[in-house]
Amino acid sequence: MKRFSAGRLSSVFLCAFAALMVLAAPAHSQSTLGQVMSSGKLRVAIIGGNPPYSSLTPSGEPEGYDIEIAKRIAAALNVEPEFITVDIPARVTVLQTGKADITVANFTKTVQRSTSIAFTDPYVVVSLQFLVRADQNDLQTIEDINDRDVVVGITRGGTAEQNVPLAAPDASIARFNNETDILAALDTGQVHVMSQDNLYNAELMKNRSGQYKVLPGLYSYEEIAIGLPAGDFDWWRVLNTWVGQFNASGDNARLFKEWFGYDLPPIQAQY
Amino acid sequence: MSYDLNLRTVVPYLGSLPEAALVTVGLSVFTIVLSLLLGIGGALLRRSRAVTFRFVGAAYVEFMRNTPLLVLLYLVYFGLPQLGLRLNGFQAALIALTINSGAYMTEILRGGLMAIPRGQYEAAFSQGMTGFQTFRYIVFPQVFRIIYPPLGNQFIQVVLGSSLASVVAVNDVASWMQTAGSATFRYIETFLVAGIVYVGLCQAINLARIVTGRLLFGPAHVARGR
Repeated sequence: MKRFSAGRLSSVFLCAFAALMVLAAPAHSQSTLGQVMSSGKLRVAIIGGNPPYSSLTPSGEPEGYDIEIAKRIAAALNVEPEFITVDIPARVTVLQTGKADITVANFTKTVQRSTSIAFTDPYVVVSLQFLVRADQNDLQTIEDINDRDVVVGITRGGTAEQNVPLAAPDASIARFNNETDILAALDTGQVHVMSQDNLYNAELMKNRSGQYKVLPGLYSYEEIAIGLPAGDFDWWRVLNTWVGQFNASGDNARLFKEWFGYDLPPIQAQY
Repeated sequence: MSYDLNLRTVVPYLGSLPEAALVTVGLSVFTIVLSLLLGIGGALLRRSRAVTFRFVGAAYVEFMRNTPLLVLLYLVYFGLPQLGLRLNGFQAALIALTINSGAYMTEILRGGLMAIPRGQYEAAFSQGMTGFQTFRYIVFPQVFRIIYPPLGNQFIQVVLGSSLASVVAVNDVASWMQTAGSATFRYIETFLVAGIVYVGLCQAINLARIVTGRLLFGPAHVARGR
């Protein structure tokens, strides 16, 4: 026991800990733009299971509308895109901790979120819609949903948390971590209604027609934008320039039509 | 780049935290009590003289110890409705957690029971005690003193495992953490607060375990050669 005295052990651990800290300290002396250009790689955070925005092919390669956007940005900067698959909390924290340069992941731009990360101008605008199974004849309008016995499935912490109570204050809410789980819940009857953005619903209706129906009405206005780390004006300037031209040149409309199958809804609100 | 840690951003969401913590505590306590009962049953099954009972007990333990809790949760919440039994999130989480934890409780109790020497049973029998009296007055007090540490570990595992209930629409602390984090994008702060709450809950349940043990079986100063 004498060789492993407490004093010696703790000093060994302290040295190892200090060494780890030094090795792990990131060298952030460059701005994001400088880092991307010098390394030749654009690190993009995406969410995997959200077609047609982004999904993974059986071989593990990402594909989708969001993926194509990221590839075009990388091409415009003459660098290679590197995709990192993340989940809902991680799509934010990778920007805050410098592990990704941009996030293209169906991000809704809100003022509150803008206090911790930066957003470009929007590239698509979506609205909240409600989806039910086709065999549920008692749920036809929003008034039918506005009932304590009706359970609405939403993704946790998303914009639906505010918008669903606004649209149907009396309905009960069940929170899930991702869209796949809500869909499974809807299929098995654990929830009666699924709330999602109207583009995701449209895709579902196309792929599984006849199984679901969408209730009439749009219940929110949400701008989907690219996320980037806060406090980096040069990086934001470059990305925002790209987004503006992507929208204005019609490139966005063509890409959208290719992945979604119908025309891009207007991005600018009419006011 | 640096991250500005700012706990004040979490303050508007702290209002819903007590209710979430209550759900976690409720789920954990119910699971602990029910899985303890299941564990007692399982331990007795595994120690019975009939081969079929022993096999059933062993199969239950092996299956539950070798499947992830998440898979079980999905099976109970999404799979059972397809067989006609629809449970809400809390019920599904309670059932999945209980039968999962019951397997570990079975093993803990079985280990405790195996450590009681045969002589104790013989001495009790010679004093004219019935089987039930033997268990209640002689065997179980000794068993509980032996299984104090692994039981404490298992209680903590239950509390931490209850965080998975957020996957099936239960509004517990893990759900609060995701909701508040997603609304503010301040994940590091919400993760920190949730972590502190879980530490507090585990310590509280640990304390309750020690106090209950003292009340039921007297102070644990048994001279077992320590």
